[in-house]
Amino acid sequence: MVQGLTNKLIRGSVVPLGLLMCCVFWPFGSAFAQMENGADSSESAGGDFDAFSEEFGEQTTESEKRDPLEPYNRVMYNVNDTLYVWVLKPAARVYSIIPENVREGVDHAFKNVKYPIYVTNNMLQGDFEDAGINTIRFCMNTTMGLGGMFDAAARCFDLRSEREDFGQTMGRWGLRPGIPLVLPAVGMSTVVDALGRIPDDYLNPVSYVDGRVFTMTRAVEKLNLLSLNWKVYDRLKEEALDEYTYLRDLYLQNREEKIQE
Amino acid sequence: MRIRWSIVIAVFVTNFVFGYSVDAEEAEKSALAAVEEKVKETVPAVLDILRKEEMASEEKGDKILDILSPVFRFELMAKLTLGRQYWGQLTEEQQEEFVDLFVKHLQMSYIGKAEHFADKEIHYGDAEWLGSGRRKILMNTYVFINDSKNVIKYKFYKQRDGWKVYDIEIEGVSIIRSYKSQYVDVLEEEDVETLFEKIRSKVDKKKCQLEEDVDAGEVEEEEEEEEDEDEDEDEDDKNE
Repeated sequence: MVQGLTNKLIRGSVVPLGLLMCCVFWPFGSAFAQMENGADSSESAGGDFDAFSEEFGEQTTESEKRDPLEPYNRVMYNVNDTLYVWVLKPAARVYSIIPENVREGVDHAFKNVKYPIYVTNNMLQGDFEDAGINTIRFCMNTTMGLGGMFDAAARCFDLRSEREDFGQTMGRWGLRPGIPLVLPAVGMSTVVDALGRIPDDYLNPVSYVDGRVFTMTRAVEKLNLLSLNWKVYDRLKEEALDEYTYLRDLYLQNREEKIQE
Repeated sequence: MRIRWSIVIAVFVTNFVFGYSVDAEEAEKSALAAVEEKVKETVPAVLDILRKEEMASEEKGDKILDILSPVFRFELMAKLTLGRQYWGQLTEEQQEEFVDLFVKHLQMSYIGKAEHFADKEIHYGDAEWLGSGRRKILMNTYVFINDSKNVIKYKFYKQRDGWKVYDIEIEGVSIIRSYKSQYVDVLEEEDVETLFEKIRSKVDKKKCQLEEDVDAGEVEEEEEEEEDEDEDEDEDDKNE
């Protein structure tokens, strides 16, 4: 008898009670959600570092420091830098008498000629879409772009693609840039990227022209490129506490990104 | 009886979860939108100042800092740059001084880089979540220089007072990561005062150079990706 009464009482009140609770707690749901979001932004020192340990954690610096050739690299960096300061930069400044847009055009033309490098590496990476885009770009720019002086494909049809090299292909297949290596007179590189230059050179049509013309062409190409970039390069050197490690880290981070793209 | 209770609990739980998820989803969408909005406002404002030819470099730097301070969380950036280990070793005064020096160092190099983008076409990508936990947002922007596309990524972190930039990545090069390895290298070999001294001398030297640059006039472009190649030509010049 007593039990029956309790049952009835509960049965009668449970449903409305449930509804009431739902109504009461509905707004709480969002309040809790907000509370949790708010709690995320705790600005305590530990919380901050925890949230970023993956991104900037000690592992990253550790791997960046894998530089067994550092003593040699530093010497070679200084040799290259002396050459840059005393020979190349003055040469580039003189060369800059030529108007900037002409120099940009020359730069485009040299990049256009290297089409076999891009398309081969696109295909080796299994990226047939980019291989197609690069082919169309080459055809368009060589004709409409007057031998590649103008990037007509990018301007008129917004056709752009990455310029892939063999170092990136190796990266894509699991051979990471790894150990930094400063090449004499060439600059910052890694052991893997340095090796990658060899097949790329074979794919560069310029390397098939006669010896002396080849040297001249390469010299003009690089001087032209430097004339467009030496200010950026100088700025990077300015802001570095240690030029060698700074440029090395920039190179490695940039390569890593290019491989992942 | 038991069944009744479980229904109530089930209703309550669903209600709670549902209410939560709808709200969270909306909050997430508006967070992304807010970040996009912020970048689209801030970047043109900075470029506007950079384009002002009559303004002195120093003044530009200060004006840009005024625009960036509400959007960037410099204290956090400074902390992340030193990392847990070294930040903890600094006294409070040193921490304050470090933030100050770091901002100056950053200001110089950011402006130096941004000047190359001042008159370039900029495209904005979509904001997206970065990592797990929905606490970081990544905003992609693209700068077209000499017809090649350069990616600049702004990374935001959730703070009490909204989303704040904690890092910028230019063509894959993160400011925090590259500064971190610079600073930590010094700290590993020497002490905090030496590091401060080194940054100070950089910042002062750069101030003078920036002024010279303004006199010199024109600014040239291209990205750091190419600076590695720059040296390629050493080879050829030698050959000649």
